[in-house]
Amino acid sequence: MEQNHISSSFDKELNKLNNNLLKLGNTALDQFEKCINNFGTQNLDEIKTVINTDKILDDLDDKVQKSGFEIIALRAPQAADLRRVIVALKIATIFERIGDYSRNISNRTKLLIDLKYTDLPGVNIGKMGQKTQTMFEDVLDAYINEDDNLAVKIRNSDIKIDKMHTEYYLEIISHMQRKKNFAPTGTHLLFIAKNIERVADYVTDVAEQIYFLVNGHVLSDHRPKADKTSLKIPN
Amino acid sequence: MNNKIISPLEASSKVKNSIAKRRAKDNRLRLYGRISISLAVCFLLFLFYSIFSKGYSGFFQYYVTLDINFDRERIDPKGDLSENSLFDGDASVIVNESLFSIIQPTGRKEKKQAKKIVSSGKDIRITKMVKNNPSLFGTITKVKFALDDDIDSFLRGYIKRETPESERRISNKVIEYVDKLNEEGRITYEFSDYILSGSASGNPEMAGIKGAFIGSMLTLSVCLLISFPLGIATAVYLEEIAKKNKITEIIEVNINNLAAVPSVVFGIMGLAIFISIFGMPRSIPLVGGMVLALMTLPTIIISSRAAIRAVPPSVRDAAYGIGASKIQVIFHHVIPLAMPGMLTGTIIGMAQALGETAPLLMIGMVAFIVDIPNSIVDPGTVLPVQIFMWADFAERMFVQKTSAAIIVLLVFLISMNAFAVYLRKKLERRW
Amino acid sequence: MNNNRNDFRSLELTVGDVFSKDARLKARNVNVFYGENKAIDNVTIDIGSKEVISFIGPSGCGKSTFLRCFNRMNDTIDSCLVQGEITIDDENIYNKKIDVVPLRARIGMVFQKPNPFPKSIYDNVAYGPRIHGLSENKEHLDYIVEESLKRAGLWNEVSDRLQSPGTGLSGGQQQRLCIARTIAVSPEVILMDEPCSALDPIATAKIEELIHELGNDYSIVIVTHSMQQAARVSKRTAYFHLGKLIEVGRTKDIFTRPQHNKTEAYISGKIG
Repeated sequence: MEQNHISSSFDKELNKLNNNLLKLGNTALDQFEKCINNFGTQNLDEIKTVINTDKILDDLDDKVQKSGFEIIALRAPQAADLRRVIVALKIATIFERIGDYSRNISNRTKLLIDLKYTDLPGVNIGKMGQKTQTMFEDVLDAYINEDDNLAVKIRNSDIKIDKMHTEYYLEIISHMQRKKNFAPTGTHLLFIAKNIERVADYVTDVAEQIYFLVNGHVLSDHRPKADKTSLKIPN
Repeated sequence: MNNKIISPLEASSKVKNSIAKRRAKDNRLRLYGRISISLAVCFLLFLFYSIFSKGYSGFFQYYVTLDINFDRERIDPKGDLSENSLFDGDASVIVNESLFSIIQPTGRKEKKQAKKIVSSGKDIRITKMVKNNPSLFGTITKVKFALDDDIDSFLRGYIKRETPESERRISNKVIEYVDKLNEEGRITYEFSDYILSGSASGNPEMAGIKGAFIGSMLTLSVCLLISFPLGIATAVYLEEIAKKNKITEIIEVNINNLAAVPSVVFGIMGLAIFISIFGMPRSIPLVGGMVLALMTLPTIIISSRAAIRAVPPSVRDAAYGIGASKIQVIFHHVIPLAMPGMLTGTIIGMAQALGETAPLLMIGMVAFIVDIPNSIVDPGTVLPVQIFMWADFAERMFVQKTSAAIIVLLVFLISMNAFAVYLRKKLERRW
Repeated sequence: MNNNRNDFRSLELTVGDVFSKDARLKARNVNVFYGENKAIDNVTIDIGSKEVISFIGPSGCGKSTFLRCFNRMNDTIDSCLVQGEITIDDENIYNKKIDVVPLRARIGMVFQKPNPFPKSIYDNVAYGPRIHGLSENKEHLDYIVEESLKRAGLWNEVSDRLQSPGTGLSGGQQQRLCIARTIAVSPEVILMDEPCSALDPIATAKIEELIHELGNDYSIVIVTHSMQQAARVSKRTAYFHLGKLIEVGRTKDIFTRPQHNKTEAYISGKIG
């Protein structure tokens, strides 16, 4: 935020909104990082902590929605201010959903532990998770710095996650076809992989919002997609 | 049904067509205005020209220069320059001697006529000179004396040589003497030292307006001192303090009407109340001032009320809002802001009063008063009345003097009005 | 609709919280007549201490009239009759015994059109303290003038020309001068009658920022025909319609979820 508004209370309200949003984003990132780690370490206590912390994300999202709404009603923001407030409202919802997915992944990890899952070669959840986590970290930086170039880069790297997801999907399906009692484990693995891919999509959504925030219009070309799982029937 | 909405295009062309007529009408009006103004200016210039051309000569008169022997024993027998001594002295004889030495009249009749050539104020002039400058004693000094008014009129050409002697005011012999004096270059036409410094006199050559002027000033001062505070206070009361009801309405109507009442009515009132009932002496500036004050009050009240009304309500709101009491609002805010208007109204009222004759005639300020009044209870007269009286006198020289006095009065009126304009400009505050 | 109506009867209920916990001014069943015309109909409301409350409503709804009741400025209008009770510290200001002059030093007013006195800037601010005898000596008076101008955000712009006329300032500066003049007498309540309607947007924003700061020390009641201004500046808002008080509440609530349908209609621009 460059120049201050004449009304200092308006600045305060905008800062409060921004701070809550960043808190929400960082907490969601933290949750995601933890849930990917826990997939590797299979530490039940840590997993339970992640599941319980999800409530905080809901509260933070409520706060952001409420202050964004009030700023629009009371201040009638214009131009960049308006874009910031609207983008903040959208991104908050996205972060909250990412939080939901982290909780979901943690729940399924718990079930995998019960099913005594050990690594399936060819399916590196950790790698996929870390790449997504990096995207997530970058997008938070892009938001704080209002860096639209970084946002475009993030958006273009989503394709890698899509490719990984397609790869792992095919691998898990073929394993399930070979070993019939692998089905429950496989299903959970599939969902976990899908969730991570969804998180990457959401992070890309955030990146597109950041582009809009900075430039005032949406990215014109289509997002490159490589997720062919819904298009092919594996044999 | 021919009614329809006129399209912009149509309207445009209709306006264009009518514009020529409208312009012509405007120009005609403008022309009429210009003609009227030119006419008015011409009349004004003509008026000023006639007044000034007639009155200009009233400031000048003819003097004769004589050599006077300042013999102390004869002028100041007692030697102490006291009034008694000078009175006993023979100053006028000395002057006549000097005159006779030039024109050399023979016989009593001729000498009698010759004595009338120099103005009868000759001895006063001598005694005044020695009082101011005792070192004149023992010298023979040239002194200028005013000429008698008939001689003056003759020299101006009003009394003509051609008229037969029996119909003329001065005899042939006197004309001869005057010619003689003229040949010797002793007769001069100079700025009169009487017109402004002298007071009323039966002798036109010595008559001046000083007495009337002082009388005017005294009368106006009394008028101002009474009407200004009363008028302002009344206006403030009626505008700010009194409740608006039937009574105040009636008062307002009456004040407005009083402003239109002929001024002579106020004179009658002054005569009836101040002089008859209160028994005040006539012809004093105090009574004159009181009568004029009655006359000027409505003017001052009306203009002050207008000035007070012109003070914007926002100033009053601000003052009340900050917790000022009614009196504080009036004295700290309303009156200072209304003051330019009030002062202008007062000065205009005073200028009107300066020129008033009728009411002062009614209370008797028409008496012939020679002494210059010293205070407001000394008898006096005022400029317009003086003019009125002079206009009545027979002597020709009074014509000039009257015009000169009118000029003085006009100059005063113009300066007062100019002062009013200046004051207004200076005191006007933006709000 | 939660009204604590146990003490005062009213024919039509006002929606929302009319009462405040620490009320500075209390208006109870106030009616105002201009001759035959009823301009304010049975209004009851509290003004809290150190809060900014705005009165909004369409033209002619009586909000200015009601505002002027609080410092008895309606006394200056002959045809105006005020009924009901307005108390400050539990003393009815319409009591015959109350002297209106010190009342107006406690409850100050800023008007729609900036109206500095045609005096110098210094004298404008010093006038109030002078007539109320607030300062002990010249030094103290200088201090009061400086502090008032500082708090009104005007000191930096005029400190080098205190003797120049107040009317020579720009519109926004004049209004801040009027605010400085008002706070120089240390009021408890400041009434503002559309203080920004004669000013441009930048000057308006500066005054609003000033009001925001002053709200920490004074109770401020501001009448405005701009809803957006009320939304920006006040913590509490009261909506008036045809002389009646329709709804009072926190500004946030009034502008996001008003309870009365008339309020909703006005706020969303559905009625004039």
